[in-house]
Amino acid sequence: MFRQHIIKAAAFVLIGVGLLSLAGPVLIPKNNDPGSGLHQHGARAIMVEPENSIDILFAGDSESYSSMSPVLLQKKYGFTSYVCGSSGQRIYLTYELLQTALERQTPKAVVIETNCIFTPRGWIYDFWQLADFKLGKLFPAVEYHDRWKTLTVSDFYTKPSYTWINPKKGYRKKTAVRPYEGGQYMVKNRRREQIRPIQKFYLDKIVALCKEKGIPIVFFSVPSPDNWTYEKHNEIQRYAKAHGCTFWDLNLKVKKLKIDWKKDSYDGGDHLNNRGAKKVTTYMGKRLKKKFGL
Amino acid sequence: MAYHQINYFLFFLPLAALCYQLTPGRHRWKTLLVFNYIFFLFISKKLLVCLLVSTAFTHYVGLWLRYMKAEHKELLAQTAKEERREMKKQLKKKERGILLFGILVHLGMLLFFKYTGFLALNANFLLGVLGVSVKITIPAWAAPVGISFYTLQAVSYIADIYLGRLEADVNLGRVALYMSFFPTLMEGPICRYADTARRLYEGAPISWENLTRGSQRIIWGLFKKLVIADRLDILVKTVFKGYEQYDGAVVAVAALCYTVQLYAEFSGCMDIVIGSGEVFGIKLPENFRQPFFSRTASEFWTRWHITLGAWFRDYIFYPVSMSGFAKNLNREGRKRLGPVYGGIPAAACALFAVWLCNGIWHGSGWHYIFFGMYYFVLILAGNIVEPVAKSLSERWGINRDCMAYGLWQGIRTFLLVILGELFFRALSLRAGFVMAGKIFTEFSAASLTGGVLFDLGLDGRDFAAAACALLLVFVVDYMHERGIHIRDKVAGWRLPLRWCFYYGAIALVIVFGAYGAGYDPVDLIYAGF
Amino acid sequence: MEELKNILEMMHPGVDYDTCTTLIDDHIFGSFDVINLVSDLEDAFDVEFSPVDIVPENFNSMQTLWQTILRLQDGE
Repeated sequence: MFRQHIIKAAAFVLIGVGLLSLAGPVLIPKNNDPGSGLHQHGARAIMVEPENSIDILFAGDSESYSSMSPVLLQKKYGFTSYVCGSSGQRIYLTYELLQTALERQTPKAVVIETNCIFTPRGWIYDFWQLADFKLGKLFPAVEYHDRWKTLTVSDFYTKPSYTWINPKKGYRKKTAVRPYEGGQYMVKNRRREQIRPIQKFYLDKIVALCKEKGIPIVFFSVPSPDNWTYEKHNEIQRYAKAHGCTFWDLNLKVKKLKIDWKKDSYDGGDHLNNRGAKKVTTYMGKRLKKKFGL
Repeated sequence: MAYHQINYFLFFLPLAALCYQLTPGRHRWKTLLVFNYIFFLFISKKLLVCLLVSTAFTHYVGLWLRYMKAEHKELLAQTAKEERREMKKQLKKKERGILLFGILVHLGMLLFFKYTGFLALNANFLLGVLGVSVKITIPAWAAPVGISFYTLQAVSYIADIYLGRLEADVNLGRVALYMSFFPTLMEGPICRYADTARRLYEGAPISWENLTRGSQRIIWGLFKKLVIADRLDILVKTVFKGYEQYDGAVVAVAALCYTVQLYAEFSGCMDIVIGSGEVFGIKLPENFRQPFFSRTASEFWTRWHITLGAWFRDYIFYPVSMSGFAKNLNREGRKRLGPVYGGIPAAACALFAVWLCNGIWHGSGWHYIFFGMYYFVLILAGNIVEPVAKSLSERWGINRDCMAYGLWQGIRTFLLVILGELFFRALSLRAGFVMAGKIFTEFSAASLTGGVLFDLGLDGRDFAAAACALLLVFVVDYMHERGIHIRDKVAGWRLPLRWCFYYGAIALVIVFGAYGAGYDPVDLIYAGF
Repeated sequence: MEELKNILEMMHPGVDYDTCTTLIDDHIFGSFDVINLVSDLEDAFDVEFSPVDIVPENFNSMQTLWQTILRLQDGE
């Protein structure tokens, strides 16, 4: 009786998993344009860029795509770049996106915005989030379940093929202004906010991936009073040093960058708006050009 | 962690069930207890101490009462018959002292965690009115998860011992299990010791039938919570937050949606909870019995959050109405007002106590107290009007048992419930009045056709999905009302058909659930009370 | 027993009290009725009800109610 039940339960689960896997290709978006429903479509459009055409690859969460403008970099410094950023991006998604991007691109450097390495809640929460993420990757039907709303007959027999080219190369322009009214937020100290285990695991993987391909890594942090602290700075500084990476903390260069917190943020100190992005992009462009001889 | 999240039903619950099953029978209760506390730790971390203290205290007070009662019995046996009555009274007083002590300590903890902020706020207001410039800083701390629920369980345990319905348990483990069974921790149902404790401690093995039936019920609960409740939450949140900019019709739709959301969410969560209990072979009390088939407000509360209503009935309504004061009031009242209305004043006192407590229990905020008073008035009015309605309908020859009359009563009750829930959900009492006012003064059906509804975060497909799902819930509730149980029916089908049914149900949840990218996770509403 | 039946009839006529065993469960007697009923019974039979006695099992049928009254009468 007991064995019979085990077999029955296993069969039920297996058939269920099979059906779920079959539903994946149907629900998965068939293109990468903004209306397709593809998650991180802005970042994933890098797959449509011509092979080996990108000099600098940016990655990170919303801090990255709201502050780095590849179009401006191209115009001002003449090198090509792309921002593989998405909102609330966690470092394991960064890893996945980099893996995909580096299949077709061999940039001179991978430049990672560091806010995505830190998460606001404890490691238990991180674990469940990772489990959710993995479940979505394992069963696209779960990740893209909401696509039932736009499902058409052709979804049942077409394969995905990406054709949409992202004109802004990953940058998202925001022009609204909401000033940051707090004061100095980078107070020098020697404490460190530890990178948590899951984040560390995937960060190490990114470092290993780039090392294997011979691509140097630059960490940088965009000015953001809401997110960045000196404790985080110390931690990344230490990590970068230990792994032979470069770290540019723009939060320490607010004065030099001439960031005006009355005008340069669109949400009161969380993200930069277009005005702030121009300053940061210019600064980064100069340093990248110098460092990698672009 | 929460019951509708993957980490509960795909990880925690299966793991708990597996470990439970693998433990030798005699020790199973320990495994269960460990998982209860792990669950608690996940949500409230260090505040586990509160639950442990509460448990130990409850156990201790129970035993204290038990020994005292035994002692008193002996004392009584030794006293002469004439003095016995007087003696009994005195001893009872002593026992009552312990009961009160036990209850007050529990209420004190509840008050401390849940109402300090509210009390401070109102004290500040009062001080302001009195012209005193002292301000109390309003403290903000998290309450241990489920404190409103386990406190009521603890009080019912102590009270039952005092009343002689229950023998205090010597075994601390059993009391601890009763206070902390993880499926009931966040949102109840509020159990009674006699119903669950023994069974929890027994550690019966998980049977195939319980496992499958429990899982089926969990899926049904997830369907209600994820497909209906979490979808409607988007609209509800938008309108209740920015209520000033919407007109009466939109507010009315939002109030309707909130009532539906609350039902789908709370009853859905209860399905998950009771299904989880079923997996372990624990029959938890039902909390819902098709509430929207009620004909009156008071019937509604025998079908909605049943265990809370029953708790208030048994531990507030009857004790208050059996008190000397209420009994005298009843006698006097009936002498003066006659048999029809004479009982009302006394009952009103007990009823007032119940609904005041009900309002306060739901949270600190004047709108909750208003919510309680709303039902107090409704139910009291129902009892006053009832004899009149009865004689009038007899005189006019209206058949009150016919379907049309029942339908009218049902719709009336439904509308009253929606209005009540509007205040319940409103951000403040003032907001509630503004919103209710809009429904009655600024209602224009035209605003619904202009596409405003689609600006509230839900598109046409969302509305369609919610409506279809709701229709399904209605059909199932209707069948339950008629005593038809789907799980039993389906269990009789042949295997391929049966499995198709189950896969279909799971697919509905996965595809149409309002979760993942594009949806904000919605916390369990009642876990906040 | 006859007296009890009369009291019940007074409150809710038209119920077959000899056979009905679900007076509470079927909501024939609501909580308001129970209070009035208790008050009547206390006067008629010189007993005193306490909250412990107010449970559905005692009130669901005339028989059980009668038993309860008898128990209360010689309980003292």
